[in-house]
Amino acid sequence: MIQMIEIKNVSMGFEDSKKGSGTVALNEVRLTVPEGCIFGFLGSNGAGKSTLMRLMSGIYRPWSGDILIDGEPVFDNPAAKEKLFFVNDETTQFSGYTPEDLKFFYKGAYAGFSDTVFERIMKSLELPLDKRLSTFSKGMKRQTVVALALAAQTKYLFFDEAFDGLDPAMRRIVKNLITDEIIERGATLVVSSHNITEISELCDRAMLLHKGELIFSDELDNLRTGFTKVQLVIRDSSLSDEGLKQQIAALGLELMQMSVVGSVRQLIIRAGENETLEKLSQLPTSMIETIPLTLEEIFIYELEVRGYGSTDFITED
Amino acid sequence: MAALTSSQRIKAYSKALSRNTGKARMLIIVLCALGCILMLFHVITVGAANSHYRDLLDLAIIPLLAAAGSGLLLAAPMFKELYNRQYADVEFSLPITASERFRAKLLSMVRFHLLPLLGAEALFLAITPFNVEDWAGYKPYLMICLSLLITAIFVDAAAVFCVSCCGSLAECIYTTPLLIAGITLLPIFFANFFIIQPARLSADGIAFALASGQMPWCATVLGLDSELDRLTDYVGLGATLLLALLLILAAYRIYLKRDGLQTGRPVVFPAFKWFIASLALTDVILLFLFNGVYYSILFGLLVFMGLLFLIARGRVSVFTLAKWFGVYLGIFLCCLLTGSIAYKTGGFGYSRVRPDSSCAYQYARLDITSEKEDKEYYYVFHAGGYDLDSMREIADIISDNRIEPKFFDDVFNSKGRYDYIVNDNIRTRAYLYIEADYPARGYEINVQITEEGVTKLKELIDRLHPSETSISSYLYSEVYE
Repeated sequence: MIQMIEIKNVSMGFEDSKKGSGTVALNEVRLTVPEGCIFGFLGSNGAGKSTLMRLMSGIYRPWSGDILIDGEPVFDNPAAKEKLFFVNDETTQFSGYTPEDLKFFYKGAYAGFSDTVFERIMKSLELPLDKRLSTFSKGMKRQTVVALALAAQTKYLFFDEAFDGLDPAMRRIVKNLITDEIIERGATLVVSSHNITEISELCDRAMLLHKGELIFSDELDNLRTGFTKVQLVIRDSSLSDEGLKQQIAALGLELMQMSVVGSVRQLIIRAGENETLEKLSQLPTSMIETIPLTLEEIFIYELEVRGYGSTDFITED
Repeated sequence: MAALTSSQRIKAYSKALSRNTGKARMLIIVLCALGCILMLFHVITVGAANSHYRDLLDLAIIPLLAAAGSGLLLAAPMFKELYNRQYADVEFSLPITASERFRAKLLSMVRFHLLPLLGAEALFLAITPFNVEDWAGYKPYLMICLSLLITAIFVDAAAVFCVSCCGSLAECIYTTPLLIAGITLLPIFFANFFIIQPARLSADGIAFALASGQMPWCATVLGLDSELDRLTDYVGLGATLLLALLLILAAYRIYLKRDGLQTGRPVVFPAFKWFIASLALTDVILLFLFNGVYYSILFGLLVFMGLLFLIARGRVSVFTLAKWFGVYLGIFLCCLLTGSIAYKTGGFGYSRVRPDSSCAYQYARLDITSEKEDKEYYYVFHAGGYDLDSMREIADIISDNRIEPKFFDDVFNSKGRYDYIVNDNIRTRAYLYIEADYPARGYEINVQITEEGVTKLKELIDRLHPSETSISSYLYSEVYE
């Protein structure tokens, strides 16, 4: 039996019934989420991250393509859905419920729901079981939902902007709680976020969506090794930026970004470190060195190449 | 852990939903308990036969009627995922199929709405036999309970149907009463306007039978005096139940088509928008056609356009307005066309569907009210044992001498137009009520005739029945000034 989530050529959009037309939210997306990983969904605003996650949870029906959980289609299929738990980006639902009520609610839906796990997590987070969620802060509500998600004991957990509303200390506690639980159970976590630092800390795999198109999807280590950031000084000071770009292209390298500080030029090249240094050494340089590249830079440059501003991304230092 | 079976999922989920409707459930239980106590109080203290205490019975029915209508309050929170995005995210991602989810919610509606009502009725019906003398005394109470139960099922079905088609809470709230009223009134209006009026009959009994059948609580509230055990009532109750089942079936099919994407949208299926608006428009047209075509045009337009404007949430273009107006004209013309056919055919032949000639009328009553010089004269004639032809002749004289024009009389220059010029200070109104041996065929002719017409009628009756059994001999001498 196939143990993973497969997204096969999925397209989906939002119809405008008045105009009889629609907006494509996802276009032919192909993606595989292997079992046991922590997978990050990254993308610009309106890229389709939440839509994809809702499709994976069986909330939306795709226009075309298939979404399979362990080989089974997810839409309207309890056999597939009992393996997943979706936490959306809102905390306004169930405000009239107490955590105890919610436990009861989810127990009615998930056969494997564990009272013990739920009560243990709620206790560790010092959350009351008998007070209505309407009296909780946003962070407390989010923690409660996380506790419910973990107590449902599902194989796949989908968190859409799950850490919003948590202060940095609580964010760390909740993240540790989630990672401990899922590592212990060998579960798979899919997280979407604008926060690249968070994704890079938490995930071992990630993908980038932009305007409904999948830009790339890979292990983070592979992503990092696929790009090289170098700074160099060209001996021939008369060589213009345009001339340098042409020479780099002639070497068979894809230049993603170039910035100039005095005589030093900083380049982001889509290639491995060795290949980049080997090829750039053919240029008349007086100094060349690589500098560490963050995941954030990779994503920002990927989006900038596609004409998207970088202001939507937040870096947490 | 073992996966749940479908029925286990439905049961477990239905149980879990109980937390979502706490206040509505409490209200239903309180109303049922109150209604049951008041009904029992009525039966125990005054008994079924004592008509002086009808008010008490009506009072007792009100809480039960409110409980029966509480499906309106229950359906919206029960199907919250259809108009609330956050709930949609939760419920559509749960490991339960759409079909199971729908059935679980229906099961919850039954548990939280119908069971308390049924329990209250069962308790009442179990105690009542000790306080009434016979079956005849018990039966009206049984019929009340049955009517209320079927009303509750019908309201639930209508509410679930509406919530399945709508994408927002407000739409669920205003479309459900519209649907209930529209469906209830349409057969009554249709029968009155397209069958009874064109047949030149005014049969309140028939309209009432339709009303009580389509909406059993009408019969219940309007009184035990109506014969609730009439065939038409059973047919009406059955039709209401069938209609409720059809609505549930339609709601089920619609629910299966939905996913989280439709949540929060204006009326999700355009067909529902046109159905509700057309139903409301047809009702309004027929309602106001009794008073004149101009009222129909005006109020029909206001209701139709207003409703579509509301559903569209105010987002309309000139093209949309033109389209709506075209549909409005189409429906209006359809009503007029149906009316003209009905008028030409005597209510689609209803005027000819009367008891055959072998059927002797058991009873006839002619009421004549005459206003003359600010005084009102009231004559009542009672008679029995007429043959069909004689009664038809009487009916034709009255019909031919009517002075009150109807819309289609003017439009189609039909037989019913008046022939006599009315003296300004003399107005005479005659009612002929004829009851056949088969009550469902009983009808009433409601016309205004001239004083001369009354004289002709008296002469005719005397000519038809010169013997001592003639109608004149039954003159009650009830002349009031």
